[in-house]
Amino acid sequence: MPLASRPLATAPLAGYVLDAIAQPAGALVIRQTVAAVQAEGALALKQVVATPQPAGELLLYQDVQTRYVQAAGELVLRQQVQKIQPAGQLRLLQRVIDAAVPVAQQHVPKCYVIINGQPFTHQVSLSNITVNHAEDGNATASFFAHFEIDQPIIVPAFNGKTVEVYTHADSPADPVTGQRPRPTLDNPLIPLFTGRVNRATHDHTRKGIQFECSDLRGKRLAKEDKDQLRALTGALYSKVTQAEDAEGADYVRELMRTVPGSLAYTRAGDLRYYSWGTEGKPVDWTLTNADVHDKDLTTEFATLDQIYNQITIKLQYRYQLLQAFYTTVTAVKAQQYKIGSYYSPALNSSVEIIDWRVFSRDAMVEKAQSFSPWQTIEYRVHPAYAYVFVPGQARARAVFTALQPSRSTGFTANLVRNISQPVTEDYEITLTAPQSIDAYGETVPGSTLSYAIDTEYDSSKWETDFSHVSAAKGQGDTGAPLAQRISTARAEADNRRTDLAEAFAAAVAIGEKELIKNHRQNYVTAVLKGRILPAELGQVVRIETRVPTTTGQIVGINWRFGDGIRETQLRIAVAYMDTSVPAPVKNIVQPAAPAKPTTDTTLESTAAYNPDTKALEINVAEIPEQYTDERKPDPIKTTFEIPLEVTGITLINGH
Amino acid sequence: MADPIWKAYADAACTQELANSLDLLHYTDGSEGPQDVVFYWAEVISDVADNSIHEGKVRSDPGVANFTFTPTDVTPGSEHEVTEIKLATTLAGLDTATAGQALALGTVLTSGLSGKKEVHMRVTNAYLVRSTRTDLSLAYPEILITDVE
Repeated sequence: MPLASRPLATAPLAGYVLDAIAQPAGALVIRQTVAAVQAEGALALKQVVATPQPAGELLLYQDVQTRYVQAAGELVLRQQVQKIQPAGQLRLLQRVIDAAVPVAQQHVPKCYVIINGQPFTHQVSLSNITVNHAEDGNATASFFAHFEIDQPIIVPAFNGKTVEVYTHADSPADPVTGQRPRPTLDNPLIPLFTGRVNRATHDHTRKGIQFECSDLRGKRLAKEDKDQLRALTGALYSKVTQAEDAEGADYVRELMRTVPGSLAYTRAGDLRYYSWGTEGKPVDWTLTNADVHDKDLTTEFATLDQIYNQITIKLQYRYQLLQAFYTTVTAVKAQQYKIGSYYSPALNSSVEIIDWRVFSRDAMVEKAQSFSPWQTIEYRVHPAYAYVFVPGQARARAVFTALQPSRSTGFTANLVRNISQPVTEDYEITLTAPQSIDAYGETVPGSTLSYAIDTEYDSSKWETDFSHVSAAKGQGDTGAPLAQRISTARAEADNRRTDLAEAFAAAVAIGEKELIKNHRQNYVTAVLKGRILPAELGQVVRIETRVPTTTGQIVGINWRFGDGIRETQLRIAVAYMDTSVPAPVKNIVQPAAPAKPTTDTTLESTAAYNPDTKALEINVAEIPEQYTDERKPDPIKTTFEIPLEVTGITLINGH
Repeated sequence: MADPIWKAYADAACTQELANSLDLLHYTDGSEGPQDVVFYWAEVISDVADNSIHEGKVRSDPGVANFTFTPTDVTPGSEHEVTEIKLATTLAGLDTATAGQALALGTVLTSGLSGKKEVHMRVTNAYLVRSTRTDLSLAYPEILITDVE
């Protein structure tokens, strides 16, 4: 029963005068406060005048104060965050070519290498230049540069310098022959790599420096704006399922666990995100027999030991259920308490033996407030009276006369006890891929992801510090209405539901990515000789050749230049399974939390006067174990089906 | 929200960032003639919704100094020269622009697509020797970026 509606008997008990309720020791003071509220910044006169009470049982207390109070004001801080964008430049790459010689007859550099903004191509050995882009890895460029003999070379001076690698775009294919003329100088330049010198190694025998360059993807991602990355990828971040307070590269790694896709820097060095899969995306490149020779095509399929199609997620949520137990203790001795009787021959009748004892009123007041760890919400002390014996016809009878202010027959007290009960909710979420189960003929469990959330509520705040007496200003008591304070406390003890929801969403996303990644391990590798395909990671490629026919996504690009070599190698991921089971509809909804038990319970207490001990024996209700031991509702088990992309792949044997 | 940053875009919708290097092909006889390039200077990274939420001012003298693109040459006196470059805010303005002179875009840049600044550049090559060079560039100053309140 809520405290606010708990009744306390207000009518006097029959034959008794109701005592004052919880009258504190000392004086009653009536204070009247008159305060003039003035404009901000002014001085206010506050007069406190205590009104004297009439002579009588109340003590007079007079307090006249005059003081100056300066009204509250504030100094406003105007804070503005500024950002500095460094000065920069837009660079012109100017190529001047011979106007007297037809463009088609002019020598065309295989690549253009620019280091630290300056042309470097003339020093680069064009016999072996490679540029490599790989999913979730650094893009790299590698080349050798010659230097003047007998001149000093400061190798470390190159470290960290910017490097750009360009090449001319392919010439269009002849519409009749399908042949592509070699690129000419007037073909536009396309960037292949933008990064920095990662390692420069002097090669004494070759008389130059071997350059290993990297786009430093990991380090650059670590410096990207967190919000921008989240907005770009749509990824989730829960401090429960991912490393808490992760920064830099750790943050990026944790963030990307929740989204099936990859971050990369383009050939031109711009940040890019692409989701995994080909469904609903336009085909960026189509490769036919004219583009790639049979011998330059290889296909590899995921091996059985790589496959799993079920992920289990265990989420545990622990909070404190703040319970209030109410009880009423009525410990009263009848003032005229019959303890026995005997026969009186003189009176020729039965004579009652009466216990006339009463208690000290102070003792009752003290006892009514001494039920720790129970709190006394309110109490009243039952009065005791003086009495006289009035002669009767057969015997004298007692007649009560005046109230005995210092005596009492007992008390009635309403008590409350706070119990903070730990509750652990267990959620077990199973993610399955029915297409994969059909394709591989069995359910293959993968990893189990386990996470736990604890509100870490300090039980003593509820059990010890919280006061149900609104007027009291105990710890945590803001003076707000009791119901509001209880509601606030209960919310605090169960304040990580939002984290639970975020953890659920992130955990499912992590599991889903694991399943998708697991089924994206079929690859087609194609080499385009004589071609530089200006592709980017994540682009969709349609392969229509004599051997394989399929659609996949670029996960690796390698451009190679050398003597007579100008080629592109693509590694294409294909999501494939041998199944006709349709993709399930993804319908993931966070399971509802178990119903919360009742938090307000009324228990029964007993009390009785024991004439043998001449004491009031009180048995305050005990809190049953079910309310104190950790509560573990039945685990909530849910299964969700994850759709996987299945792309057809046809392999023709015999070519 | 992403940090604001002004960038050069090749299209008016500010979706295609300008390449690291503007590739310009010239002939030794200058037969290609003047080459015009247009780009857009805008902050659309953070202000995707075009709400003019940021302002950019020249850091050295905020609100007073003009934001400029200034033709610069790393090898003045040899090869390409800044006088090959003319800048204007309109195509027609190129005809009357002074070669090698900086282009002022105002004292305050405003974020968002509607705040973009259109820049026209005309390059007339004067170095007629077979070469590949990156001598010339358009330099811009440090920008002090603040939120618009």
